[in-house]
Amino acid sequence: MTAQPPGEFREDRPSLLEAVQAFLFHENSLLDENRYEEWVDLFADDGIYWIPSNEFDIDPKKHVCVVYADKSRLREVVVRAKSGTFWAQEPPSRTSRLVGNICIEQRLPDCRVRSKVLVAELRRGRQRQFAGTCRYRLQRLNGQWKIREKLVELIGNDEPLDNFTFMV
Amino acid sequence: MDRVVLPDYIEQLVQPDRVSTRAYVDPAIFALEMERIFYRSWVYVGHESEVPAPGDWKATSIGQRPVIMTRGKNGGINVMVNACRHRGTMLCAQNQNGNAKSLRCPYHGWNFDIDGNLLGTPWPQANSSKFRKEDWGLIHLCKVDSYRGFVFASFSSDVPGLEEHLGPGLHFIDDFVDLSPEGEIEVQSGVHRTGINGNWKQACENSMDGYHPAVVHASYLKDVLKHRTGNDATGMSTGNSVAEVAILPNGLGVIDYTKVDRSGAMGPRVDAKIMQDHWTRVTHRLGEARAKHLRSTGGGDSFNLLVFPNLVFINVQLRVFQPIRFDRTDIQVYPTLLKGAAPEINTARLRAHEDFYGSAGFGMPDDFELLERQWAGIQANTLDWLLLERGIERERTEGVARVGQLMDETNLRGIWRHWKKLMLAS
Repeated sequence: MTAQPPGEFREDRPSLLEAVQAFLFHENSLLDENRYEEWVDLFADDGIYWIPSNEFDIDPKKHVCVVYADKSRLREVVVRAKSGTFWAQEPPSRTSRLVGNICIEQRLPDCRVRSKVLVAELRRGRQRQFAGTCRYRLQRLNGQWKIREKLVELIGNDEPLDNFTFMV
Repeated sequence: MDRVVLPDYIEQLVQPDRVSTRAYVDPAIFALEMERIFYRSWVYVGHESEVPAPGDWKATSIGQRPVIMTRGKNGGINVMVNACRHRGTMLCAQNQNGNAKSLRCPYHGWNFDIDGNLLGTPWPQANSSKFRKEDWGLIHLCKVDSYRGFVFASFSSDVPGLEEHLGPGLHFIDDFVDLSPEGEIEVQSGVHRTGINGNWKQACENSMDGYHPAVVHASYLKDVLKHRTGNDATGMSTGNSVAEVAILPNGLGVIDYTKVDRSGAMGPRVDAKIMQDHWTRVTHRLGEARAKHLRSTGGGDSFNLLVFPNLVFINVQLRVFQPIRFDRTDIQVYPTLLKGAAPEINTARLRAHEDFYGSAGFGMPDDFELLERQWAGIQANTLDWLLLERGIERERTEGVARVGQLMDETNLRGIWRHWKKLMLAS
């Protein structure tokens, strides 16, 4: 965990922590507002979004994941969402999420961030709650934040998830 | 108190071309299904590779009864009731795996070895003079047997041999397993736990329903698959497809795509050189003809095999339906690995599997969404009957099988005929 180094505070410039926090809030707002295309654009071209199944500490080469998606597959979700026949997301999930406990574990250029997420999801009269730890690898590219990896350690990953076609 | 279910009632629920919604939504029927189907038939418990070493255990269920599969001290497989004989406390955490020298009950400390023998009871001086440890070991199921590592058990001794029970299904299981260059699969890569708010038989039927993919999975086929491979594979899933469905003895059923060109189909995509080496090894083990068959069909890539009541082989996965209540079904999906195959092949199997199956896949959640909508439509007995009559005038007998075109409801009729037979046997 990196706190603001003493003496480096400047009124006119956000700290790394503040900048990362603003980015995570933005990322999560895009998901809450079903702006998936913009959300996918936040990923680097080689970016990965994944949720391990059963346990957190697994090797995805040898163990199944709830989802293990590169950017092209994330784009396919967008295409499906527009098709009108993505039944599991017809109507789409409505979500509202809290992001907190943001810790910067490693600074730029290969910035590692750990945070907590608590998501309420409502769909067809059924409201569910999911919670977990998000582990991000972030980079700055042409003045923009990009996600190289978003790993969600979902506490319910060894319980029946039923329809889990929305993004955490 | 459970309502008495009379034979006449069961008799009327299933007609040759239709089934009553009461067969899904009546809780008394569910209770009877546990007794007459789940506790009297062979039911899948797990794969031997889930408990590779002595002391390994897996806790699962047969129907609503918790059971454990263990690897015994001498390497044998046990299937036992997961409850202490003293006061009934569950010994191994449900749906978990582990390894133990002994199974000690956390309530009063009764201790059992991994083969179920009662080793000791704390403060035994209070046991009655009649008490004998050998009378109070864990309850073993009446029958336990395995075929190519797939372990089945039965609470009834009145069942045929396992291989006789699986019958023509054995060939499909062989195809599933023989993709491995060592002729073995491994179930050691985790599980997707999912489920539906609906009846277990809906999931059973869905696995044998060749009519739905063209509709339910249209957005996958057209929006995803076509862009990836240039072929949306919709030719596989039409009313003109050469793919067939077949119902086999004992409620086994198959959707068979073997005769279809599946070049656009989903499935693991791996570097050609690695695949070439793989097939060379498979050919070395099994010979040209068998390897050619496996290569053209891709093992489980070319069929769904239902082993009634609740196991399905699909693509690389084993899918298990666990009936929780009449209106709730937990579903476990185990992707399998090919023992001895290149790591790239097994990783590709996992990724291809996640792409379509599991709770976040591009296929299975759409199926389950529609099963829940189906439940919403039938749960209040709004309809008297659900139809299963497609293809009824053209299905044919081939040996022990009844065969129809992919989109015919031959298998659904067969499942219900078998269901009725089991439910009427007193």
